[in-house]
Amino acid sequence: MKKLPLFILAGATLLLAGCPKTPTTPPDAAASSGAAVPAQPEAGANTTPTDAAATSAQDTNALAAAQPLPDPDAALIARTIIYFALDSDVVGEEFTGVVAAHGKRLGAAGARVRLEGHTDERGSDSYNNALGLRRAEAVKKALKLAGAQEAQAEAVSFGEQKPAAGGEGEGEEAWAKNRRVEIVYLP
Amino acid sequence: MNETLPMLAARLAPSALPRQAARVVLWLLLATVPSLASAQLVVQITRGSSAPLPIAVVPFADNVGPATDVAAVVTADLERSGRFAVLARQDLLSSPAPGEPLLWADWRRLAVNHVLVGRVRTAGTSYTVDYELYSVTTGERLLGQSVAASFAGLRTGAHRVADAVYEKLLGVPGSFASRLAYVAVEGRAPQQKFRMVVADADGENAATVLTSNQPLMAPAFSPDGTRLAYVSFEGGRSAVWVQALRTGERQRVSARGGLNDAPAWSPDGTRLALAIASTDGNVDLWLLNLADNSLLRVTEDPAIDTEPAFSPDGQSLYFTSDRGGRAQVYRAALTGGKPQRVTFEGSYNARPRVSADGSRLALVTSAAGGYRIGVQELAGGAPRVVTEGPNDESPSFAPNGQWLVFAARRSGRGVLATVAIDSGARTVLSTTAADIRSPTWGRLP
Repeated sequence: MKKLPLFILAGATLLLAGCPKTPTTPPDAAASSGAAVPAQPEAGANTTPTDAAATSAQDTNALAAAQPLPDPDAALIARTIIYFALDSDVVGEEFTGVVAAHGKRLGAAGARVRLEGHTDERGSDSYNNALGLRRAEAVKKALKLAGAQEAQAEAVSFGEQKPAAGGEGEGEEAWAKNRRVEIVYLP
Repeated sequence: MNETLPMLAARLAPSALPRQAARVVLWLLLATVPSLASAQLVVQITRGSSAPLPIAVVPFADNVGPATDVAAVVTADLERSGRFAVLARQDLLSSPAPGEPLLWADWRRLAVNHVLVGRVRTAGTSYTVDYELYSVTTGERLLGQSVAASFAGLRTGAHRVADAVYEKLLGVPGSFASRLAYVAVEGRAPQQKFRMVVADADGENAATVLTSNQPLMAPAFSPDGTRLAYVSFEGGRSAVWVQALRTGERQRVSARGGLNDAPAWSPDGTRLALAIASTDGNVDLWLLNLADNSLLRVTEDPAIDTEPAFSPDGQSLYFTSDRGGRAQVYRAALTGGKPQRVTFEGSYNARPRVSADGSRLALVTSAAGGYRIGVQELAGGAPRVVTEGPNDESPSFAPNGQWLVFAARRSGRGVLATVAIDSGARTVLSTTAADIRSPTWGRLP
């Protein structure tokens, strides 16, 4: 075990919601973390909601919608929920355009977003918290690749604790609505 | 057999002073004063075990209302365990008090092996409960004891009587005198209300210790039963809190970055094992020393490491990791070295808990297309599935290591369920007023 005295300053900052200092993460963590996700044979079979399903949900939030949208990305920007396959943190092809549009917009303007990762209800609660965070981090990475700055996006996770509206039932249709990252523009 | 317990609710004595809690951060929508939960859990025995022991529990002498009916509480406890068949009260031929002669021929005719008699003595503001357990076959007095109980604690006294009878006749301690904590969720997403509830092991005396409009989860009793650690998402981010149950005073002990999760107490109550995310979102295990708030890293791996549980000797952590590609249970020695994998059967094994004697793990395992609770002997072998699924979570051992409480879904609703590991006896605790989640079992303080 590596007894690294990380967070040595923790005593002083414990009661503050301080930013963590975690320099011990290996530089290739993100890459190997992605690689650690098993190939999911069921990923293809497990439907993520179609564009229609995605946009029919109330997935535009007021701040995003309030921006004037003269550009061709308008339809993409209006979509703020990214859906995932079972046990996967890979941003699917059908959502890369949406995430890239948000990343581009963030890069051009000074806005900030909170990325809220969620999972379906299956499996254990805390594993799902970690999986939800992985999803939020995957979206954050894609936003940064498209031009967003590190400080503009915060990744958090609610695991399976906050199902989407309409996602409270059981069965694949409800579960698919819950495996998501919500892009929330902060005031 | 279905039985609805009487909804007696002797209120816990909350000496909570909210002002004492003012030195920690309090959010507007939170209340930490214990209050009786609006939704009392109802217990159903869903499966007994084969060949239960026939026993008579005679109404206790001088046990007058409105005080708790001690014999009724003992009866409900013994029946819930699945190990006893208690003679119906109306079938009793006599109701002897302690010290009075028993008519052995009558008891033999009723085909019971044992008879429990008792008396409730009142002295000022407390009770003394005397009880005697007899063998019908030999006429021998097996137990002759007294337990003290406060005025509000007569139910607990009754649970202690049931514990003594259980241990005398089965050779293993009972855990009727113990507590559960769980999360009750009301309303529909996204407008939900979350309550952290502490109740007696039979679901009675349920008291809400915290209310929030953001998720609460992962409660864990300190080993001495006086404090509850849990995860709260108040403010929109996960943080780990420790709350004193008597006063309601609470303290945020970890709020770092993207995730603070899965608190597990060390056996001596001085440290919490936590799952904490680094800046890139990778979740590893850390030890938080509660005395000086110092943190010590336990695992360092790009995979998810979470859901720690201490071994009873405090020397290692069992935990969930997907470092092998899928979630499995590993063990990390706190003295160092590479974590060793301990589950090998099945595509998903997670959320381990260790029995108090260190002999077995309870965990969530994938089975029959769903998730069920498995019990794995640490000496070796595969998890033995002990629940029905299809979406069982959060197993927690009773203090006696004989029973598990877990979260299940029945008719689209979250409920608590218990299973006796060896006999297979099952109960369900539910309410129509809320979804019940994240149960944990603990000792009385």
